[in-house]
Amino acid sequence: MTERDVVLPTSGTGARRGRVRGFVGQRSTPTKLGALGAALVLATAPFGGLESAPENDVRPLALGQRIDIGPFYLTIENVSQVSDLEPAISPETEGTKLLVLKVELTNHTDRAEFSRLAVEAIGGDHTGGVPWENDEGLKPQVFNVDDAARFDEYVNPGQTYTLALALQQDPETDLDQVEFTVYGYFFQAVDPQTLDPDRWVLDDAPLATGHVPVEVKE
Amino acid sequence: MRAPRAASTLAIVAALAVGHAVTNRLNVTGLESPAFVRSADLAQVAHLSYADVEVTDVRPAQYLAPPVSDDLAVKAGGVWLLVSLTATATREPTLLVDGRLVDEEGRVYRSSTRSGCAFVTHTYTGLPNHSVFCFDVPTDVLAGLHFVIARGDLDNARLAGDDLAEVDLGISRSEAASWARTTKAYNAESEDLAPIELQEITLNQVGS
Amino acid sequence: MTRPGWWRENRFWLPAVPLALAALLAATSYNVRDHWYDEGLRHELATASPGESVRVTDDYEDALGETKRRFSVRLERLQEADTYPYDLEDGPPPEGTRVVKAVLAWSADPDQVLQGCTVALVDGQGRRYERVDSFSQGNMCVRYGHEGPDAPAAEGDVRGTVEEGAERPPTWTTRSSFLVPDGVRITQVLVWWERPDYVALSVS
Repeated sequence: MTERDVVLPTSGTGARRGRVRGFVGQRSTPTKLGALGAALVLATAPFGGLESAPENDVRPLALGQRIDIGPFYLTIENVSQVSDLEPAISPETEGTKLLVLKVELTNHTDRAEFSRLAVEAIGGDHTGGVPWENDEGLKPQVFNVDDAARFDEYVNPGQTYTLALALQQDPETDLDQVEFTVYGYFFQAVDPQTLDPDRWVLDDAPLATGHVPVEVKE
Repeated sequence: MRAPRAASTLAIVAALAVGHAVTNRLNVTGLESPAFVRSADLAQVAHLSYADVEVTDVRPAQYLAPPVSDDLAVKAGGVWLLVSLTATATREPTLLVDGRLVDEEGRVYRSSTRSGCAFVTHTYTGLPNHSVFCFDVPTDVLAGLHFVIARGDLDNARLAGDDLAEVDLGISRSEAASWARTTKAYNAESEDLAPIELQEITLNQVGS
Repeated sequence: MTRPGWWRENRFWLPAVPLALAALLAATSYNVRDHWYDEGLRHELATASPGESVRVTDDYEDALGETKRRFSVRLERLQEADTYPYDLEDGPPPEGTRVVKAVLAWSADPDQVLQGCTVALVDGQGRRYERVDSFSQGNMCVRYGHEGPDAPAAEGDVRGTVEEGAERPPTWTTRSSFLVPDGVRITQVLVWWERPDYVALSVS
């Protein structure tokens, strides 16, 4: 049988300090450096070093307010409720109203951008939306205010258009409750999955939201 | 052992640096090899390896009447530019996709689908086909515009190393200034085996 | 200069280098087939001498999997015509061109799927001429109204299903018109469904 020295842990701070020093002293240099680094990071905590990056506050939405959503400057000029938007479009069923957003968009980038990016950046709440009969559902129908023709295409760099976004609306809708939210896009140089270059990706965080007055027109 | 560890650390750092340089400096998703540009002026033929292409006419408009006469005429946000093209395939039928305009700053303008004009042009072997591309462009970029077309998709690397036609539309500054103010309206045209004569029209007002 | 003995030390690995390079090239060229080879007419299934009939077996894949089409075809003649069947109505050929009609005699079992083929002319310089006004493209090997079976579109479809009234007789003739520039001599008629496979019929 081999004899072994048994070292019994002795109580007292003196002995413990010696044990810690011995433990630390026996770690390799990289381990010591790593531990020092971690300690320094933790040390920034009282100075706000561990807080997440501040999020931009969401602005209250207002008419005439120009919002940079990424590919476009977007301005909601006015919102109205109408019975008909001839010659562009009429409600599919008698009695249904149309909720129309008049929106100005400007492509301030150096390449053509699809108008649908602007249309999809606008969300609505409590709009009383009635789905279209075809597969369009609650998607707004988009028209160029200057010629009443449908508009769904590339907006060239530097171009500005005033578009009407039309939704069918339940006539009983409380217009004071209608709210809109405008989202923005961030530019993705390379999609990590598909390697598609230069795409705009919708941000989760909204840029502006709130109620704007809805004009009732005949 | 100090020396081997230092060497392997340096090797790792060097590999990281090379990787960083490769992904940040080299354009891994863009066109690796640019297209072969065949230049031409207005009314001059650009000889591509697969087709002969000629821009025969370019003119401005404020309104375009669509092919279906019941539809509404479309108004330019800036000014409409109508680019008339004649193209003939030299070896086999080839689709020329997506003619575009490029301005003096290198910005690229796409043709309009709501215009009712062509967005691709079919080319037939030995047989000229005519088409009109329509662009809605800002009024201040007209001078020095070039028209660009090829058989490959201008957006992705399928164009790499292939022939591309670039035509100087010859729009001078003075022309650009008067074109910007045009009030003319034309019938939109897309493709035809017969030469296309652009028809100027007058529009009827529709109730607003 | 490599030190003496280096060659001897590496005598087994060096011959492996060209093999490894070849394997590397083969492995990285997987796009060549899809993007180059399969996009052109590069695989001749069968060729016929002037006036001769040729029997063809074309392997292809449809929605249900791999299958074959079997048929015989003969170029009866090429003839000139005064008008071309444009999309809207018949009309004269554009200036500088003439109308060439290819008359093809076919025979196949009624259950063979022969819809969706393309017929083209080739001249002495290898230039290829296809139908223009492509709206009416696409079903050039069968007669309108008697196309025979549709290709199965989805799982659950049965191969060889024919729409009522669209049955195809065991033999038939097709006539396809083309616009050919003056002065060009046609030497071959090509027929194909899925590239790169095609059938070449020589013109006398």
